[in-house]
Amino acid sequence: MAYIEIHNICKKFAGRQVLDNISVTADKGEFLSLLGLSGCGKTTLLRIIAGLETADSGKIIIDGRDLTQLPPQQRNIGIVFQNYALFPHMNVYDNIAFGLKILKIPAAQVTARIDAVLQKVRLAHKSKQSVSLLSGGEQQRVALARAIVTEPGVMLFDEPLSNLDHSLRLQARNELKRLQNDIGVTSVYVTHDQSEALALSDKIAVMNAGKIVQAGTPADIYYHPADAFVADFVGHYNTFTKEQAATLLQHYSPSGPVAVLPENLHISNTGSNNAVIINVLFTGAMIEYILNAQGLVLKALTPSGSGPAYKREDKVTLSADTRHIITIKDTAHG
Amino acid sequence: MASKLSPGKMLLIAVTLFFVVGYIVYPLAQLAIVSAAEKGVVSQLLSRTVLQACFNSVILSAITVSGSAVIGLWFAYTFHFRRIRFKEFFSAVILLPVAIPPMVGVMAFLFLLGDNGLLAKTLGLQHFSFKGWTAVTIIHLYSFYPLFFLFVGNAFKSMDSSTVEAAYAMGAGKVRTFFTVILPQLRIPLIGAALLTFMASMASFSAPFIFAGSDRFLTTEIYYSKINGDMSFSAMLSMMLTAISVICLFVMRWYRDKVPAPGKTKGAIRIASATKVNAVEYIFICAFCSIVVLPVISLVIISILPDGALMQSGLTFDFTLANYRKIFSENEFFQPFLNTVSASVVAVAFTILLSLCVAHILRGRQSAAKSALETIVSLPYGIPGTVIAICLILAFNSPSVFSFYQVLIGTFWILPIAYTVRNLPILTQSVKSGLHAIDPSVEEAAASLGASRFRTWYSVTLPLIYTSLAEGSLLVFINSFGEFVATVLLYIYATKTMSIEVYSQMRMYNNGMAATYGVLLFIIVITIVYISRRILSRSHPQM
Repeated sequence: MAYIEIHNICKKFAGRQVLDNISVTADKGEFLSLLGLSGCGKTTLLRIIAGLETADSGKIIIDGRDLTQLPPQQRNIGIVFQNYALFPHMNVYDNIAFGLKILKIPAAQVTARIDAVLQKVRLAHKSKQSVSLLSGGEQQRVALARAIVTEPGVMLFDEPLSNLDHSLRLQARNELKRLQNDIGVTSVYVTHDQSEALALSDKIAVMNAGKIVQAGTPADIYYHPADAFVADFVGHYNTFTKEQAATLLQHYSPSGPVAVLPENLHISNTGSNNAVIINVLFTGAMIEYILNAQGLVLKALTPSGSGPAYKREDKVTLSADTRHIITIKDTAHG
Repeated sequence: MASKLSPGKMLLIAVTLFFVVGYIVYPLAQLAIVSAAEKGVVSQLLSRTVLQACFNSVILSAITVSGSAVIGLWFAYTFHFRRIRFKEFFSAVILLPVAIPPMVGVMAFLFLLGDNGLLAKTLGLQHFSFKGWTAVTIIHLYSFYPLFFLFVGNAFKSMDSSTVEAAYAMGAGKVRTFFTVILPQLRIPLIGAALLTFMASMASFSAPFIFAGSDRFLTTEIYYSKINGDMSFSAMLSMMLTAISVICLFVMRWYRDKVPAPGKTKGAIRIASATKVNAVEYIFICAFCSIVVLPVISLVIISILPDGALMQSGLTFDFTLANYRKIFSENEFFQPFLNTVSASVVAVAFTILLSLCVAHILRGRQSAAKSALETIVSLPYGIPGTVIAICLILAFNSPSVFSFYQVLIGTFWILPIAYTVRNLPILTQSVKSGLHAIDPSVEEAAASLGASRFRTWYSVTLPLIYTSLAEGSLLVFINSFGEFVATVLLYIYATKTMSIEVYSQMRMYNNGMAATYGVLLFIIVITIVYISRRILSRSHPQM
């Protein structure tokens, strides 16, 4: 039996169906991401797991225990909030000690555990500092330390990296992965950033408009998107209707709509030359070509090698390896 | 969170409803019933006396508002845009009248400018007379201009100073810039201060009571008809005064909600570009500040002069602390001090408890019931103290459910209750904005770490609203400590407070004693303000 079981959760806000019959599971030690655009219901689902919102119907079972009716303080969970939610009137140490004091852990042990967790998040030297004087990255690490120090059964993350700037975010992501490998606590992670979800998760549940549209391993989701929404959102796939694929892709006649990853869409200047390059972006390791193929805008990524082989306005021909062309369900975007 | 009502929340609601219904709604209903029972309401309301009193009150308030606005605005503008030597000191002096309880201020003016006042006695003036409209108006201006100074001054601090620089850059002169760029940005604080001043001025009792002579004002009419035993006429006048004030209150709230707050930009104030005030302006500021201090100084002098010395030989320097010794050694004189302190402390405790209840109930999603509660709780803010006292008398001069079948009138308890009713809106507003500033996820974090609701409240919520709670409570204490308007209708000999003694000692020609109580009130208020400012400024930084 799975460690976290979410059964048929439904939730309405002011007449709007925010969560529509959501079911998903995670095994012990697994890192599950809820991935979706803002407004898709992923944060609401996380808050229902935490007990901060009540579902209209459905069940939350963790480790065989039905938590659906329990208030958050009885669920043995740790949460890292998007804005960290540190107690502004306490210093780093007191913030982390808060949960331990509630568990009535003996004072000596409290100090030892806080020292250990501060080592883990590399903040041992800031233990007595007021949290309002810390940088964003440090605050994020205090929030993490505060949540893991009580050794909760489940960790919940609500977009914890979204308030950090780009380079810090990548660094914090690696850090989180390292800690996750270290501690191995079962986690549910909410994010709208597909690269974050792909990098961190054991399992991803892609959500759209209150429903889970696909759940699986990162590779599964990336290479075998269930529909056009997942293809576009997770892999930035180029999607073609049956007719477009037949005219644009060399040597291929599909049976329905298909999708091709940008890195698998090849361009050359031999053949029908029915696409025009409208933009060339050099991003370092890769070169990104934006193309207009008979009104369809496409993206192709090639290793940069010795620099761009094509320039703006060049006419090119598209092709893709048959095993990289994926047949998808034809659902509308959004 | 779970939508079910926890026992704790039910207790909050029960306490709140008991107080709000029992001590706000029920007394107001009594007022309405009694005044409606008066025969020939309409013809009485249209009688010459009533119309004259009403007219006088409105005119006085209008003069007070415009005069205070001009004074407050000039000082706020000058102190913000100009360089002035000892600016900190002068602005403290300019704010001084705020710390003077109403009755004490009136008494101070009497001792300074009255027929037998310091000025008349020292300069040997025979026909100098400070009374009637001039006196009341001057005292009103003295009490209310600091409100404009504060409101407008705060608005200047958050105003984008680059708009002024932009106007100068486009070639606008100082005067043009003031009227076309600065003044329009001050609409909200100006309207706010104007309505507050108008309401307070309509409700003002002490100044007309002592100085008006034969001129009639609404508040004094209410007092005299109650004293003459005509309770229903008094109730009717109270209804009228309440109606005017409550309309003002609603206009203010409507305006506050309608006008969008101006966008705040962090504009560093360019002190470098500010010009220094010139000699004439500097002399004016010095003179004005001396005049502001004068009433307080005369109060102090009268309090340390031997009895009757001023009447016999004018101002001498034969000072004595006899009056102060008397208050702290003789029971009869110490009792008012004790009454004032205990009534204020009880009132602060009641108000804290109730405002916490109300503010917590009002928290979260809006509903019709919540906005009804908020409106009722904020009503006493617009109701003059005189009227609140009349309402409480009508409600509690006989046993009622809400007083557990006790007659509260004539007991000590009616004083703290009156202060609580008057101050609840202020502290509720303060706690409410404190709660509003808390990020809900901070409390959710506490819950996720295993804290019970109560533990979350006292270890997270309470520390985070501590500053607004403390600042609001301080204001409640100061208001209660010097309260005169309601007290004068509710006290009995055994429960008289210091501000009552300021008045009654003066009536008995014990000017020294009256002044001594006044000085004590003033010193205690100033000291408490100073100490608590120091403590609060050291409290935790907010994130």
